[in-house]
Amino acid sequence: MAGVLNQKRSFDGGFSCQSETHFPDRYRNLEEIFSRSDRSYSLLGAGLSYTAAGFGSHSDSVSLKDFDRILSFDSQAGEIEVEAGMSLGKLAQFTIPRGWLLAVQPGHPSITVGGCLGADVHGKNHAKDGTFKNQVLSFRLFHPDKGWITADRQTNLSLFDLTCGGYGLSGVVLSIKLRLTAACQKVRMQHHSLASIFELPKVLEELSAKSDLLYSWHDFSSAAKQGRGFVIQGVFEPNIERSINTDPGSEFHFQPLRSIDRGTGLPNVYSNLFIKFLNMGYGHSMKRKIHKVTSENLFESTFPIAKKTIYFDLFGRAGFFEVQLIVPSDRFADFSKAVLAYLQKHSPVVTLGSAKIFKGQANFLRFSGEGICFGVNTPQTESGRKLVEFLNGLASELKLKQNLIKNSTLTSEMVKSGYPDFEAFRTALNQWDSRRRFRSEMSERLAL
Amino acid sequence: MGQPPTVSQRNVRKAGSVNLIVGASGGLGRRLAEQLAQQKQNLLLVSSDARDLCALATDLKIRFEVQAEILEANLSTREGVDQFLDDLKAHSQQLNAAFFPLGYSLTADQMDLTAQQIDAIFSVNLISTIKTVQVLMAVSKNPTLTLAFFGSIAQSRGRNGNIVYASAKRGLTSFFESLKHRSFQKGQVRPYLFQIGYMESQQTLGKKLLFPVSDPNGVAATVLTKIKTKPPGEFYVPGFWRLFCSLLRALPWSVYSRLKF
Ligand SMILES: Cc1cc2nc3c(=O)[nH]c(=O)nc-3n(C[C@H](O)[C@H](O)[C@H](O)COP(=O)(O)OP(=O)(O)OC[C@H]3O[C@@H](n4cnc5c(N)ncnc54)[C@H](O)[C@@H]3O)c2cc1C
Repeated sequence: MAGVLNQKRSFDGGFSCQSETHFPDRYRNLEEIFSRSDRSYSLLGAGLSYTAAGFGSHSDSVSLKDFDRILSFDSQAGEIEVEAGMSLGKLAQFTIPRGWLLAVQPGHPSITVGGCLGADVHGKNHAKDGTFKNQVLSFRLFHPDKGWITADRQTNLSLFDLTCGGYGLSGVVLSIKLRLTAACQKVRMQHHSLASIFELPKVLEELSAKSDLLYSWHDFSSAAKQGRGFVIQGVFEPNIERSINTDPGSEFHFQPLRSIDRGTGLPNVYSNLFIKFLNMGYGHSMKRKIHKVTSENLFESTFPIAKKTIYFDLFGRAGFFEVQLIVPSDRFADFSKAVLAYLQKHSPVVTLGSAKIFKGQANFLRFSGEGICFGVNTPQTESGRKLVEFLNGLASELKLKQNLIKNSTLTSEMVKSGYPDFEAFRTALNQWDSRRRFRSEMSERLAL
Repeated sequence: MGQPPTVSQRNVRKAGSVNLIVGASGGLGRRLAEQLAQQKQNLLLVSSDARDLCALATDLKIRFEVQAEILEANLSTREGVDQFLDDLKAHSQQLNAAFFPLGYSLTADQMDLTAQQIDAIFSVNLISTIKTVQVLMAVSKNPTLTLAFFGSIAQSRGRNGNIVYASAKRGLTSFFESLKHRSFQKGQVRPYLFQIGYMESQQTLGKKLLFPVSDPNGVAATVLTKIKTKPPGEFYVPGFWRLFCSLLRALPWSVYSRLKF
């Protein structure tokens, strides 16, 4: 089956290349694509990872966009089986009107369930819901040399473990059975102010057990502001009645997002002055919400960025960097001091600082653990690059876990200290598939 | 022309009738199935791989709460077609409409095909459709059975490419004309022929084409609207292809013979 030679770009703009992509729309096509034993393959969901995790110059990509059907739904137990190419938006459109919700969802409805499993993503309350893996009951995987395999927590457990957060390197996940949680119609939103970033761990800790959604926003437009900001808390309002409303209407409307289109024709517009101005406006709007409880629709509060994707376009074609890492709460103050000192000295443009609270443990290369998950964005400029180098260094020194799917500058040397299971993952992967049929730019860069 | 259905016949059609889609698992067939299901129409889905059919039928049943049955059939061989027709007889009495969005072409179709490949191309693109229609007309109790055929702009004028495929599709055009003529005199069916221009498919992927490629979802919507609002006939989708194909046919041989496409 022929593919298409097309240009691809990671969402952050950090890597681009031309490579062949296959778009199978039938099971037979899919098997046929992998029948060429001389090729290696990458698996593409929506291609919205910040890094090139679903493609690379040395592999053909396989897109599962046409595998997006519902294969079973148990409305009593709250379980659904879907094909891996289904977008979170399409899934929500089906489940929310029927009173169910996927508890762990990353920021944009165009992201696919396959991509969520591949990167074992987190949602807006990791402390309560864990990562995507926690929602996965089982999946069906195709490997060209091994055929079709079902894995869950009883059968093929090691494959289950290798694949959830295995970055598409163990085989093609075709369908996933997911656990759902009861949905509400409205979310009660509350905003809490933070005088500085140092208050963050305490506030998150206090609120986490009482929240369904919990994340923070920080102003890093100058070090003097000490990363002051807000914690945004959402609590699902108990349903008055769970009525099946199958007419979704415009409630679920969103602008599709594509990495290749991000920032087309635009230069980077972010500067320190512009960010100061933006943060001032945003800060004021947030201040007005303090001590007020507002009610938002569930879809919008699950995907707050979906209507604000212009934020990513304004980095221009060149793109941006994101560093996201987990800092243990007891080291968060030292970490923050180091970051603020750097900002004080070098004044790079930080367009966004944001955090969530993480709980639990994780093996292999899953971005999970215990502490504060802290992330910053900066434009792809020289000062941005230097900030990222600094943060990468700090992360290595403090042995922090970096989110591999978000930072295109990482190498294996930088991340090994944060991931004690780095070698164990590599060994398990090679044991599972000695020919290593699945590769991507990210897997090659990290020498996986 | 056949008599318009009476009110009670219309009601029967709405209540329990089924739409047959031959070639339902991907591309236009799948989009037609999805849009019909969205309109709460029951479906009988046919294609060569039960895995695709099962996934599609289950999805439509769950999302739209319609009935969707499946028939796996290999329409590229005579035995496969015969088997399919036997299976179909059990289902065809309540048919509201039959759609034939199936197609099979090979890149080597420049007089480099084996005899078996030629048989397969004719079987999928023409013979299976003719045989199916004959069975449907014999067993269907619907006095106004809608039939939708899907031709190709490739059949408008023969060229050195898709030679056998275009011949089969030209045959389909002739079959449609005959049915139209017959139905004008005797009623019974409402035949539509849609000549489809470039449409996103495994065949158009990555190709640099002269004209825009349409999205199967849009094509499916156009097809269903035309069937609802227009009397039977031949339609080009998108419409500009009618003009293009007429011009192509009108070109003098001295010019046409030099074209490379
Ligand atoms: C606006 C925005 C907000 C985001 N917010 C968050 C967030 O809150 N939390 C978070 O954790 N992440 C977040 N992300 C990152 C994003 O959730 C992940 O990168 C996710 O993996 C992207 O999924 P995708 O469908 O785009 O898949 P891709 O980027 O195409 O693929 C991701 C990985 O999954 C693998 N994969 C895809 N499909 C399959 C399959 N069928 N079988 C096996 N492997 C497969 C790929 O090979 C690749 O390694 C965000 C991204 C954006 C653009």
